[in-house]
Amino acid sequence: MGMDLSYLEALMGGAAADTGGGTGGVWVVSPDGAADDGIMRLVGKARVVADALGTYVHLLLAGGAEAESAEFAIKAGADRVLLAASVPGLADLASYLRERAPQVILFPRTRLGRTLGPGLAQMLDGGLCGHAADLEVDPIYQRIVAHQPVLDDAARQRVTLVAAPAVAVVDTGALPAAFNEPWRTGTVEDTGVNWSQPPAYPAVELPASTASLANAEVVVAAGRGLRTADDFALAGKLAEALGGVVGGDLGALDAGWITEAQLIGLTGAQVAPKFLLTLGMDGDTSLFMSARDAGLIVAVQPDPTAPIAPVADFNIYHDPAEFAAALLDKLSA
Amino acid sequence: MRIVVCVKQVYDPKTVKISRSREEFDLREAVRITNPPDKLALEAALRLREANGGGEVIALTAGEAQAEDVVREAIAIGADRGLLIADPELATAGGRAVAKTLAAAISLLSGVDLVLLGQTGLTDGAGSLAPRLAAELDWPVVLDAVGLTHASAGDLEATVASDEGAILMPLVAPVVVAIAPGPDPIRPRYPYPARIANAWQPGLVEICTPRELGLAAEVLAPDVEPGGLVLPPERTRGEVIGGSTQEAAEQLVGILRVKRVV
Repeated sequence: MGMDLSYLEALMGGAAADTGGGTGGVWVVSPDGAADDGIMRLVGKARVVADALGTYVHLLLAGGAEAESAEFAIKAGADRVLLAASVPGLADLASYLRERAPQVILFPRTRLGRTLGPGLAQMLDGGLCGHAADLEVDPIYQRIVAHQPVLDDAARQRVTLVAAPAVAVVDTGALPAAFNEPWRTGTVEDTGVNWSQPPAYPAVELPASTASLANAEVVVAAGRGLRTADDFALAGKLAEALGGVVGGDLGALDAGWITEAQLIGLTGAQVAPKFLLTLGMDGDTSLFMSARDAGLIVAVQPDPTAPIAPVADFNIYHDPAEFAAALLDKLSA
Repeated sequence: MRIVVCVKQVYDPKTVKISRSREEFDLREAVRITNPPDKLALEAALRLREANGGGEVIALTAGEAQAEDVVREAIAIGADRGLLIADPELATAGGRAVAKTLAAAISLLSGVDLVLLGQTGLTDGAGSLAPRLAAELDWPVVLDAVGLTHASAGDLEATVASDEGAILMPLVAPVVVAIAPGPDPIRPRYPYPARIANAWQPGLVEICTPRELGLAAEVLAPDVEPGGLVLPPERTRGEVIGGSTQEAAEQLVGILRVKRVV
């Protein structure tokens, strides 16, 4: 009779060889030196992950960041901030990090992050989550579990990064707010490396996107509850303020406020925007059924018994024109 | 000019359901299709071939045996020939293994100037294959390319879209370019009926296994383990935002901020 040592090792957190090699800690790489809110949130997430793993957070600010940003980063959770004057290429970054054997490497989801992160994972033979909205640590095997949005963020899949080092390209906007803890201390160092500067490319004009109802992310839909054409103009201003397009139902079409191309419904466009704001639409036509799958539906109309009320996620029982004006105010504040 | 277009067979997301009770994908009614961004890449390749007045476009995929459909479809749309690396483990092997497999195939093809692929896969949209492939081949990579043209000197140029605007990047072959849909997306062409029938002729698609490419079995070891799904809370409809007009407007702005609409 003997004790199964492998089971005991799993309980105790695994032998050093199982924890994925590298005692180099959690590294956050900002490849272009940006030290904005997104990077600070990422440092905060790195702090949480490093605490769970029992290791340190190193932040690499490449591409010429100021010393002030380094101080912010320490208050946000970094133990060590390394400054580099230039932007690394993939080979430079791989050889730099290979020497330091990190356990976890985190990139922000900027173009440079999306380009360097997966390439680095391939070169270091590590595990990769190319799009992570959140990170957690598996407590038994001390591995990173990333939450990857799937099906247009309908759900998130837990992806365990098995190979070491664990690389994740993180959507920093989805992370909780950055820490700001003045009692934290850390070191700021200059890496002393001299990587090359990336060339600048000429800008070009792209044709304006043909924002149509079908692919808009925000739709402001107007109905007869808006009464006058002036009030309808508010819908247009709201759409502009929210970065969306204007639509309407048959009532708005009959009133001459919208064209047939802006008609929502079974004969018009099938819309599935992330946010649909209806002003003065009571939803009493089956036309509205085509918009049920919008991400967030807010209906502004005064009648609590209108057919749209049980369909909308949020109902606001006020005069739509007044509410539109108030919302415009708040948005521009 | 030899262009390789990497195409991928994915499940149509409209047919993929999520089982809330088991917290996993429900693929019983899922239909397999060609990844639409890869069709944009194929269209870009065909347009380059036409502008160049010649050249070869090869459709390449790594996956299960059913992935042959995707290669045949690419030939029907206009590719000259296809190459399928088939292995049942490739479906679950993960990005690292697929990148190694595709890189081995591209090296074997030799003389490839340009590798095009769609930037995102349909179900996960991570967009990590292009940088991985470029790292394996030791080639440069360009992401977010919305247009690809010949410059006056005959070299290639990519229009790369970013949040601040667009830039024109000259490319030096060989290079990996990931095509993303831009504001004025390329419209992929449809296959001619005659080409669809001819696409199934023998000799157009070569099928081989990773072992034949010289890859050891350990290459297909997955680098990640997919787990269960984390689901957002059930949608509750019919809630009311009360208060005066001003208060309701303020509450709505707060909600929009949380949902990252504003």
